[in-house]
Amino acid sequence: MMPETVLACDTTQGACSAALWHRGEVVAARLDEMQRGHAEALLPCLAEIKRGAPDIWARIDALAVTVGPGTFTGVRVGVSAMRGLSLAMGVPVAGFCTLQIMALGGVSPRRRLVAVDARRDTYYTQICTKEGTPCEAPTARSLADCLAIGADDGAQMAVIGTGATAICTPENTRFSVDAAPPWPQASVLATHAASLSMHELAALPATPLYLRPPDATLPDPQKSLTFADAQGRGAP
Amino acid sequence: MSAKSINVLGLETSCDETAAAIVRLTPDGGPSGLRGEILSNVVLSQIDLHAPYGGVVPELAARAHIDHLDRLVANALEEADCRLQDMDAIAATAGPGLIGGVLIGLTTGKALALASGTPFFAINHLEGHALTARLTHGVAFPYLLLLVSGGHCQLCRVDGVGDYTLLGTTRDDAVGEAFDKAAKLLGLGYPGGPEIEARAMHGDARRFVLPRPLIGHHDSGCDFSFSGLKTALRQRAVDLQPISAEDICDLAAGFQAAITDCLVDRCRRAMEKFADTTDAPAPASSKRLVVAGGVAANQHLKHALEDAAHRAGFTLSVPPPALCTDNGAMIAWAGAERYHAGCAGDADLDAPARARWPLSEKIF
Repeated sequence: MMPETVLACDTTQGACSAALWHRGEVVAARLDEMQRGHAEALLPCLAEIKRGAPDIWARIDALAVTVGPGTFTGVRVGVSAMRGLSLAMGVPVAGFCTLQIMALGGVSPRRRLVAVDARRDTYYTQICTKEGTPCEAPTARSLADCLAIGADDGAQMAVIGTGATAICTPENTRFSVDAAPPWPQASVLATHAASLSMHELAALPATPLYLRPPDATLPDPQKSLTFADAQGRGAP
Repeated sequence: MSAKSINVLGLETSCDETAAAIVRLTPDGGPSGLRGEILSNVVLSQIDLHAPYGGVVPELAARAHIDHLDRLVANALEEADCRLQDMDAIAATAGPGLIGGVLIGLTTGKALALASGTPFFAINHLEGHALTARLTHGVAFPYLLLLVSGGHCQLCRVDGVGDYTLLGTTRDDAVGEAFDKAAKLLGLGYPGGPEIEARAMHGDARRFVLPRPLIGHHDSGCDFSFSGLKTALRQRAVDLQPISAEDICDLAAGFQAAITDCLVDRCRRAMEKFADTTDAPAPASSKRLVVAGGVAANQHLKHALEDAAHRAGFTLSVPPPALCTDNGAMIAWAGAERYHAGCAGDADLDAPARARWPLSEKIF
């Protein structure tokens, strides 16, 4: 069975977007560019969609959200909102890789490289076909590794995402900037989710995808005091 | 002001506990005019996750909150035998706390409110602690509050919902933070409070007499300071190396005694101020000192405060330990109190998460 009405949102990168798809078309969509403030913007954005189309909102039978990679906080804002809506509305929520949704939004006829600048010489990347179908799992790469993609066969690639600035320089002639927005679009996400069956959507958990471990450092044992009884440590 | 019972769902994710709870507020004729009932109170502690690091790692905490919160909300509803549609309001902590975690509870709460058409309240975590004694003990306004936890240490006068006057706060570490750091120094586990208390029971507090910062400083008001005490503990410990089990117990006892003396001294001052500034002096039996926050579970401290309160003509009220540490019931109750008092909720669902959010701008 296919969904009839899908609500989708993305807050993983430089925009906050939401879209409502109903019976073959996107009936409401909003996209606001922002580097921060997604948490404050998302629920008012969804509330506006609900107010604008209450009858269609009442028929939502599937939810879709980008799960990353992206900013840690942005990923969790979208996922927690949609998981909350899922619980309250009693409809399933499906999670989609941010990079795949960006690739699907591409417009170039070339093979696509999605590359999101995650700083510290790390790019969240995914190589996709010219139709936007992923050829690999999402991968964290350095700039040098990005530039080595397709070097063997001299492949021409269209780059989507904030990483295009560093990759598509005059020296790197194999790479060109795709005209698509450098962040995911909820309207693309909603349309893609609506193309899947309810069974397929149920197999896509809305669980964050980080690609980078948390900043957490274990205490340095060299800096600790010395104890007469290392095992007991003051056990009464 | 509503005269019927109010059911509120509360979410708490500001530190290392993921929590959801449902409380019911019923207006009645008791001292506070309200009766509180906890219908469910689900808490998932992250202590095991953070213990190897000797403290809370914010990014680990946020990742754990989002993995579990929606399931805990479902559990809280099921335990209370309620549906979301039975809620009169939804409340979530909006700060202060670790921003990554706060955002998860706040965003989830807003989404639940949007979908169910229920009013939403963005709650100050400190207000949750401040009002818990009204849920558990039916305490009437006004009262004196000592809030002692891993992130906070302050004395407040509580005159009503949203009506708080700060009498004193810490100038450096929170008291729970001081316990955690002392425990880490002594090679003990996390959280540090219970570890220090357990060792102190077998130690001699007189062997190491540690400083009592700010006691005797008449211009310090009711403020606290613990960083000097922590440094003194480190110096004693360094000098003792290699440190024996007996040393650790004695150091823990000395540290706990110093902290207790500081808290008791500041509370004595605050009780004097409270009595002086209460317009119509209440009967002695109704003057209350409420202690909230995770450190309130320390029995040594509780006994010392009981004695000090008694001498000052106050009654000490301490919520049970499960409601002193972070929980959803206190957030739900704060939301219920606000709803009952006719406060406006966050109708636009745009309340920000705040890493810092003082309980009150009013300072005595």
